[in-house]
Formats: sequence, C-alpha cells, structure tokens
Amino acid sequence: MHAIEISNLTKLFADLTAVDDLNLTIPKGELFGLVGSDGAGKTTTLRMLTGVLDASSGAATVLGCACHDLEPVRSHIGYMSQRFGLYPDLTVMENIRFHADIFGVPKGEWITRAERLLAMSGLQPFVKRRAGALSGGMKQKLGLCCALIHTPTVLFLDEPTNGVDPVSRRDFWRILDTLLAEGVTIVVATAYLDEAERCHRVGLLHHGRLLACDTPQNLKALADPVIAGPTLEDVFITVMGEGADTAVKRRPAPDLRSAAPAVILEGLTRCFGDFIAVNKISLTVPKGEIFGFLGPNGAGKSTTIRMLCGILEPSSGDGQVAGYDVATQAELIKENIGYMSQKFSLYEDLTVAENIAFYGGIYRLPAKQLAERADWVIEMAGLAERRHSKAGELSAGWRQRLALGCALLHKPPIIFLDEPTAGVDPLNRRRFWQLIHHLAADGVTVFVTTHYMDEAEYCDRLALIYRGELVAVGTPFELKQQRMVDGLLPSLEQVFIDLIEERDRQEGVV
Amino acid sequence: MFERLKAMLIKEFIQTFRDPRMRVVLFILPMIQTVIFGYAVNMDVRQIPTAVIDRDNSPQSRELLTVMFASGHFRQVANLDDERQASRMLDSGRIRVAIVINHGLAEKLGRGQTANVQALVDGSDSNTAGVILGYLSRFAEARNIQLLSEQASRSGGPLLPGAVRMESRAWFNPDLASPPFYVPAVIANILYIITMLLSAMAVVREKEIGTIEQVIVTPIRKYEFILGKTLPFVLIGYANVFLISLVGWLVFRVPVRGSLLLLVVATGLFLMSSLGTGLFLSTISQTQQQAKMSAFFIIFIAMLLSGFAFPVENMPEPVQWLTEINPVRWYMEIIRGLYLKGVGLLILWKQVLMLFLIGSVVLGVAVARFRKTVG
Repeated sequence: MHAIEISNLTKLFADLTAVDDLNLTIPKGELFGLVGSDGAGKTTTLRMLTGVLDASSGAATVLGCACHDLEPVRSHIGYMSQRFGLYPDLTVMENIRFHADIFGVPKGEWITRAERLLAMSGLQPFVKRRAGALSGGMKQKLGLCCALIHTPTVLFLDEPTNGVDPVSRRDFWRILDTLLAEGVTIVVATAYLDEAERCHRVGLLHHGRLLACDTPQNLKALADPVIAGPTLEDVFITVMGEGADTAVKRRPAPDLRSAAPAVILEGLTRCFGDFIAVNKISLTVPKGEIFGFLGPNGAGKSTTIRMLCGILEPSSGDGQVAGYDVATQAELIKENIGYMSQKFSLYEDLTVAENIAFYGGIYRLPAKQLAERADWVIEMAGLAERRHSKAGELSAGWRQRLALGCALLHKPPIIFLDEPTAGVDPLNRRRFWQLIHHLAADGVTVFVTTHYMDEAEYCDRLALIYRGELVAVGTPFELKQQRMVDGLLPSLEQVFIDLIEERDRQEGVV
Repeated sequence: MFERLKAMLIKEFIQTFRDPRMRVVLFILPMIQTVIFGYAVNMDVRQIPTAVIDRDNSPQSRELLTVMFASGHFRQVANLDDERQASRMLDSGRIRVAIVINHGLAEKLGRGQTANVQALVDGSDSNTAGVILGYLSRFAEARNIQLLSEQASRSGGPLLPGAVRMESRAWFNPDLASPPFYVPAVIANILYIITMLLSAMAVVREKEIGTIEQVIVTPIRKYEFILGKTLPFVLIGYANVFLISLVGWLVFRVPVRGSLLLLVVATGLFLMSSLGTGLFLSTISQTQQQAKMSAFFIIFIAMLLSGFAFPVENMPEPVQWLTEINPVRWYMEIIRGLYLKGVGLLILWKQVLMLFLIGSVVLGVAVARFRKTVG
C-alpha cells in the first residue's frame, strides 16, 4: 500500500478548474515536492488530500483511507496550512500544548517531544513569548512544531518556509530530515526551488495539471538547452513555456562613488522595553543604488525600515532619508518615498482600479497624471484584464506588483521594499526584479529586504544584520570573496549562514 | 486641497457599502430594532393575571369582582379556596395578584361599615407591583364613591357631601403610551452604538490587516485620516435618525414636534462624543475584539445611566453626578423634548451646551492621542 494514491482528482470552483485530472502515487517514506506558480493548485491539492476540501470528481486515498472520510487515520496525518492556526495570545509552549492536547498525546511523551522540536527549531529561548509577538519565520517554525507534536505518519506542508530566512530554513529542513529517517512520508508545497532540489521527487503543477513529475536530476533534462548547468528554477520556467529570456537583465553596474547619499543611518537604535530591536546601525546608501538588507527573522530589518519611513520613532541615533531627518521631518520624508510592507497592504475589498485611485488621491496626483500612472501600473503589473477584480482575488505575484505600483504612483526617488517577493513564484519574482532594475536605471534608490539569496545577487550592495546589529556590508562579490575557501567562492547562502553562526559563537550562544 | 480627504472618503464608502451584510446592519437592523423596542419595551401594565378567593360569595362580592375585571387591567385566571394555593401560584409566577374577600363583606356593607378586601401582590418586580397597587387603590376609591352615591340615592338624602376629586391630564403623551417615550430613546441608543462601534472598528480593522501601515507612510495628514474615518459615520448617523423617525411616525404615530434644525444640531454634537469615543478606543486597541469589548463596556454604562429606562432623578445622588458626563443622557433629554414636548433651545440650552462640552473634550483627547506611527 502506498502512502498516497491519487486518481483523476479534479476540483472546480465555479468556472475555474483549480485541479485538473491529477494522477499521482507517493510511496511511504518519500519526500515529495509540489512546485508551481501562484494559483497552480498546490494548496487546493493539499487541502483535498487532508480532507479539508471535497474533490469535485476523482478519488484520493491517504494511508489507504479515502480522503473524503479520513477520521480513521486522522491521528496519523499532520497538516501545516499556509495560515497555520497559531493562537497569537498563547505563548509558544501553550500553543504546542494545545495541539498536543487535541491529538491526545500523553503528557510525558509530548513534553519530551516538544523539547526536541524546540531545540531543533531554535525556539527554546522563546517558549514564554506570545506567538503573536514572534517574527514571521519563528511563527512558521512554531507551526511546524505544532504539526509534528503528535508523530504523524504522513505530513503535509503548504509553503512552510515562506518568509523564513536561510538559517531558519536550514534548521527547518534538518527537522524534516530526521522525520524522513523515522519513515515519515512528507508532501511539501514550496516556492523555493532550491528546496525542491532536496526532494526525492518533484511534481510541477501548472493550471491544475501535473506537467512533469520526476526526480530533480531527471527533471533538469527538461530545461532549455541554452542554459548551462540548469537549476530547477530554469526547468520550471522552461516547462511553463517561457524561454531563457526571462532571466533578469541587470542594468549596467553604476558608478555611485560620487553619488549623493539617499539614505543615511548613524547609530540608529530602537528599543521595545528591554529589548533592543535595532542597535546602533550606521550605513550610507547612495542615490540610485539597489541596496539589499538581509538578516534572519527577527533581526530588526522591518523595524529599521519603519524608522526610515517615519512611522516608528527611533530611540536614539540619527537617520536621514532624502535629506530629511527621520525623527523630526517624518512627514517630509513621506512625500519622497514609496513603501511596500511585508504584509499585503492594499485593500482586499477594493478593486485594482479603486486601490490605485485611492493612493492617487492620497498622493494628490492631478486627474490627468493619475490616469497616466494608473495605466502604467496596470501595464507593469499585467493587470489589464483584472482592472475591476477585487485585490483580494488576485494571486500573490499580481498582488505584489499591484502593491509596488501603488507605492510608485507618485514617482518617489527612494523606495523601501520589505520582503516584497515572499511567497511569489520564480517567474513572477524574476519579473519583479526586472522592474527593480528598470527603476534603478532611472535613478531610483531601492532599499529592499529579502530571504531569497538569488535575489540578493541582484543587489548592488548588501548589508547583513543580526540581533539588531550590523554584521557585514559589501557587494555580493566582496562578501563571497571574504569567505573564499581554497580559491572557491561560496554561495551567498553559505556566506549568510557562516556569518550568523560565527556571530553566535562569538557571543557564546549555541 | 481636499484630494486626500476625498480619496479617503471614497475608499471608506466603498468598503462600508460593498458588503451587503453591512448595509443590512447599518440601515435595516436599526429600523427593526425600533419596531421591537416600540412593542416590547412597554411599561403599560394590562391583563394582570389574577386569582380570586371569594369566601363571601355574595351578590356584593361578585359585583365588586365583575367591576374590577371589567377595567381590563386585571384578568382572572383562577378561583381558589385558600391562601396557600394563592401563595403557590404567586411563587410560580402564574399570578401577580390574589384578591381575598372574607366572609361578611355583604353584611358589613349592608350595615354601613367598612369591609376589608385583601390584595396579595407579587412585589419582586417593584415597578409592576407599584402600578398594580395604584390600579387597586384607584379602583377601591371609585368603588367607594359609587357605593356612597348608591346609598344616598336609596335613602333619598343629598347625593354626596362635598368632595375633592383629582382630575389629572397627562401632557405630551395623553395616553401615557410607551412608544412615544421609547422611539426617541432608540434613536439615541442606536446612534451611540453604531457610530462608536463602527468608527473604532474601522481604524482597528486596518491595524489588524496591516493596511494602516501603507497609509501612514503616505503624506496624508492626521486630520485627513481622522475625518476620512469619521465623516462617513456622521452621514450614516443622520440617515439612521431619519429612518428611525420615519418608522416611529409610520408604525407608532410618533411625530417630531420640535425644531428639526435643533435635532440636526444636537445630533451633530452628540456624534462628536460617540465618534470621539470610537476614535479613542481605536488608539488603545490593537484588535477588533479589544475594541468591541471596550465599546460594549462604555455603551452598557452609558445606556443604563441615560434615563432610557430608569429616570435619572431616581438614581442615588453620586450616580446622578456621573450622568452629567454621559452624552447619551443629554441627547436623550433633547430628543425626548423635541419629540414629545416640541420644546426648543430656550429650554434645552443646558443639554445642548453639555453635549458640546463633552463632545469637544472627548474628540479633543482622541485626536491628540491619535498618532501616525506604528510603535
């Protein structure tokens, strides 16, 4: 008996076919990766397999039990949905305990297990913190701990590492490795194709259809032959019918040595009670630069950006944006910047056009100019046919481009982007970065945070912060060069992880 | 000049009215509430369930009871033999009153003596009990006059010695009916609840979803944001006053007797308080749940201390002081004055002034507390 058997599984939502005639068998103990663009049907598939959603036609079984009635095997199934049901008012430990209790795990057993999971996920120091006060990546890790507290035989994970930093992602995958060793079957949907490379087999879903399904090694043969040493991302883009021309065309490297500074931080600090979120950070970003701001979840990236945007007062230190002081001239700064926050922050109940009109009004664009800019945003985001759809109905890639468009309506000289591509599929991320390079070519300064190291490569310069402190600054090449071993340049991801671990060792934290 | 405010208002209106449920909550529910309140909150006491123990069982005792039940205030539900049965029925709430007539009523009346009739009244609801006692004593008085005049006519003597009779007229509400008293009160309560709750939620919802972060990094001014969040509810508030008045007039025949201009002005001043409180709550709440719970706490106290059901004059003195800072109390007095008495600013100036003062303070504090930051 296989862990999961799917035959002719189909799901229709009104006139939309979310999952189209899916056939798949997953043997016990396999790690199966499900990749695909936004709206490809990954989540719908997982929801049908976990019995949350009934199929329109076709059949699926998990552990030999039909998916429309999983009660007999319910206690053997773990499911971590994208919006995992953490209770923000309960502490980390209370959340874990709640999930242990509803699965009826005996006390002695769950306590031992919780300790192991907390140690593996690095959440041990935070057991008494409320889940609502955790950073995005920590929430994801806590979600996984909760899903694993009852020793499932089959585990479903829906984009578990969205917005999770490289160090945490590595911890996360270590947890999955130990589970695999215990014989657990794992199905994981992910937008990170480097993660998909770790899977035994990968299924590529597009418009609800399984376009390809094989081992990562075999899949790579499908990539556009033009590309040398293709990655799964290249395969993904080729199979989806887009050629090698989707690669981000960088603008010519600018010479910014003599450029005036756009953003200056001098000992910028922010405390929340006893907690120092940002600790004396000093940086200068010249005009026209694409500046990448990296760091693990909870390192203080968003706090820094909020201070620079004038919506959070610094505790001490100075910051200047476009020549204005962040503490005293916040309103002047706001005239000169565009900002895109981590969460999708457009009005979901307003249509695309209404959202654009709202921000146009807020930025006081004259009617004629607004019409021009609105057309530009629609065109840039590829939303021509979606002008009158509600923003909440758009898929992640569209939403992100619409949010970016709204932040750019008034042509700000400086833009702050806080994890703009979290959860966006590879093709749409490339489109997004193409846009960033176009903007920078026109002289716009871009201050951006990301957890995707391939995106960090697109930046002119990077800063890495950890626990509120600046750890390293430099171009991607410089950072790699400093960490060169035997004449070989490490990957940015390796540099990132090494720097963080080195910091941990220096501070005596294990 | 007003582009940003205009953009805010358009957005708020789209968001408020796009959801069909919201339209029902805002406009249909208040009208339904008015109808329910008009019928249900009825302080008229009629058809009081009554048990009778008639041990005399004479023509006189039977006549006494017939006259009593003919008034419509009382309704005979049982004819009992002893007080223990009556006591049980009072305990279970099946009757509110038991009338006990002992042996010898006819005999005593015949001898021109005073005969006692006992009434056992359920006093647990003191309001109703008071009303019942009032009816009973009025009935006894009327019965006495009747007996005296009958006796006088039989004996051929002078009809009656000179007597004082109280002729009372209830002004403003001649029938002492409940709807004219409660329809204006419903306006005050609904206006307070809807505008405070919705303005608090409108801001906190944006905090919860995260959209507020995107708005406050724009150059929008604080007052533009606040006006954009409150003005729609001012209009919705006025629409509710109009709709509830319409229902009051169509269903309960309750007209507005006083100046419409004063109604408009007083409503505006009242909205300063309710919207100010809503805005204040949004500055101290992080989630819609917190905002709702705080709002209900305030609404509950404000309604209790408004004179809505319990007259302010009957409250202990320290509580009466507390009602001085309750905007619902002042608005209730104005609106009842306008509906029932048709009085004007000459009489209601104090209420209007108080509304203005309370509104200015509340709104002032809320605006001062409101920050265009996330920290």
